[in-house]
Amino acid sequence: MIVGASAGVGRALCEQVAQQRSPLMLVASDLEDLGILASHLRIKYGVQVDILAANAKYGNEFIKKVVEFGVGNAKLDCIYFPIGLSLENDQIDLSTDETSLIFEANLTVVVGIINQITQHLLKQPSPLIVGFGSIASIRGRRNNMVYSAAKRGLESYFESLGHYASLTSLKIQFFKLGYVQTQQSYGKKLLFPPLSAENAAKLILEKRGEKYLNTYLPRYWGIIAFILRFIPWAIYKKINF
Amino acid sequence: MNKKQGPAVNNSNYNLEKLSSFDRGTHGWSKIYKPDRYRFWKDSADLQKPRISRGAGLSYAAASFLDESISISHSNFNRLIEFDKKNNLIRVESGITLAELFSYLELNGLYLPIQPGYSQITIGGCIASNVHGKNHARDGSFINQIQAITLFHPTHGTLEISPDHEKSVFDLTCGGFGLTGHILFATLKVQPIPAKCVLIQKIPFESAEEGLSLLNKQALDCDFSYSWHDMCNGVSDHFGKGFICQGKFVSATNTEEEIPEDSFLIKQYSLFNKIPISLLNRASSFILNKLYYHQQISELSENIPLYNALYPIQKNLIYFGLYGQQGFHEYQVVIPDESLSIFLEKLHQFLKRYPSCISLASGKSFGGKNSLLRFTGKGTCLALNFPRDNQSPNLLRFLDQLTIDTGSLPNIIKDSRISAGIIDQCYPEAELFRAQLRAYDPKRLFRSELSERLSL
Repeated sequence: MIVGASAGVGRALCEQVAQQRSPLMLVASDLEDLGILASHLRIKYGVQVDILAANAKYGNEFIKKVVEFGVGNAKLDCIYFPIGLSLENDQIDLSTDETSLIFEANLTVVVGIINQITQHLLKQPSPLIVGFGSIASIRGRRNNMVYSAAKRGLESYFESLGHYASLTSLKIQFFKLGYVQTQQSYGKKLLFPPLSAENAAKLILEKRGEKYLNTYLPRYWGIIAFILRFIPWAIYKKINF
Repeated sequence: MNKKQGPAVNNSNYNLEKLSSFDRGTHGWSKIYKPDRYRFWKDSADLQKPRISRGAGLSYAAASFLDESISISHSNFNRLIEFDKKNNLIRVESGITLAELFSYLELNGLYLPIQPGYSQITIGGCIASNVHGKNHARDGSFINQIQAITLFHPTHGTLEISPDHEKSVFDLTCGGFGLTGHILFATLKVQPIPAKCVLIQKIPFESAEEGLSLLNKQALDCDFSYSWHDMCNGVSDHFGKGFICQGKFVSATNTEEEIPEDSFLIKQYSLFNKIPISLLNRASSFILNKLYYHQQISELSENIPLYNALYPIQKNLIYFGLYGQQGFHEYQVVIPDESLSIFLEKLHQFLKRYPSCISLASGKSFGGKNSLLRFTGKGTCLALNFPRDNQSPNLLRFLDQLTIDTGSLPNIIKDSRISAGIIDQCYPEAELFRAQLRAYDPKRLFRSELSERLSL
């Protein structure tokens, strides 16, 4: 199952998984986008594709629908959560509604779904849950304040999930994404060339056998993160990003 | 390339980029949106500026951008939608490239007979330019294999158009240079592949007239048919000496390797087209043409994979890079049968008097009837490539006048500088096209440098 399937890394994951002739369950907000993606995968790869159009902004209702969708498939053994939302105006004066929306789409729904579906996944021999963070959460900053908080929270949850999973057959992976060619990064001045969504998906799938993973993608962001964390506050506060 | 973030349209950002026509004759700064969701199209009505669709951006003329305006890339809309195996129909998003479509169709023993020679062109681009393939006389042009199109225009909404439904909009859209709206989907008629191998036979000839006459005689008996001419040496008595390539499907083993990956060839091309000078001049073209001719006729027949036969430009992409930053001109024209001799004679005389670097000349046999602004008509299609330099304006003026005088038809999509005046004299239905377009889109929401230059 891919939650957040219709664009960016989610769409690229769909294509890569379908190439391996694996049946898919796709979740996204727009039925038209989802329908077209599903048709393409069915025609091109001959795989079974089931879809669910649901919007994460409806929080609990979304969680319920996705869990029902997942539990309805006895063979579901892997869930990817490339779902996410960021807003251009995510700064100190962000409204309460928009704050809730960002937390919902990036953190709450992912946690809610995992909490309710894990027992179903554990019926499979080697289940996998993959979450996605962001380099935005390396250190707090004045732009994307809520988004980075949500992603930091998600990373913490996935660490806890890894701790829980160590006693089970469940595999847990968390990829903190750097610059990837998506709508989010398009048109922006970036410090480094972005990774294509296709290459990001390939790298993610290469790791699917790993029991527990918490890593940056591309991996060089690990070094940048290390440096950023240790920049003295007197200097860091002057960086505008 | 400078990048600048712009305001989002439904969460879609834009890039401000300097774009160039493929012949590097026209440049402009455009805001390029690259949407990946269908709700973008409905919200695109909010865009305050004129806009135009952009596929691969490989048109020789600037058909997919306008300076200080908006281009909307279809690169994320490149998927297969529906496949009707029984009736050999496939529905695709317009951003799919010929290569992507070929790789799927080939697995199912199918292909599109009418395709241009470069596989990175998108289906939307093929429709907008009404491209032709390797045997126009027999197969016609791209419109002949379109079953239906889904078109989006902010005023008209989503339209399903075909030869049987909304025919006037369909006719305006095929070869309409993207000016009727965004082509979202196309349903195409595909054919079974007769064989995976093509036997290419080369027939040398001593002059352009001899070669083109032979080309026209045998075109209907071949699956692929085109000619190559050496017109670099204008003073030669063997003006336009060359060879015909006749291709027929055969059940045999390939003797030629498949063309290397696109990314490798594109890198080579990208490297060369940044060179400040043209590496193709009269001297180098003279030598290269001689070498190419002798290399080609050293093996008069060979079996090649279907992919290589459909996309011969693929392996020769670097040729276009050799023109460097200044770029090149391609003058492609359909010459009526009755004017062919005089066209060639006058061209020969001009080149004797004003030696020019015609680095590539090729011919195809054409058929059909011209309508609106589509590049179709009965006769011989001759394409001349030459570097953009100090001599080219003189040659272009001559070719424009010769085209008018002989009742020939210039290819709009291949010429980034051709004027409205020339088009009006050559295309009898140019004004009809304008009138129909204005009736359909009075606000003229869709514009490009090409449309502005030709007052469309």
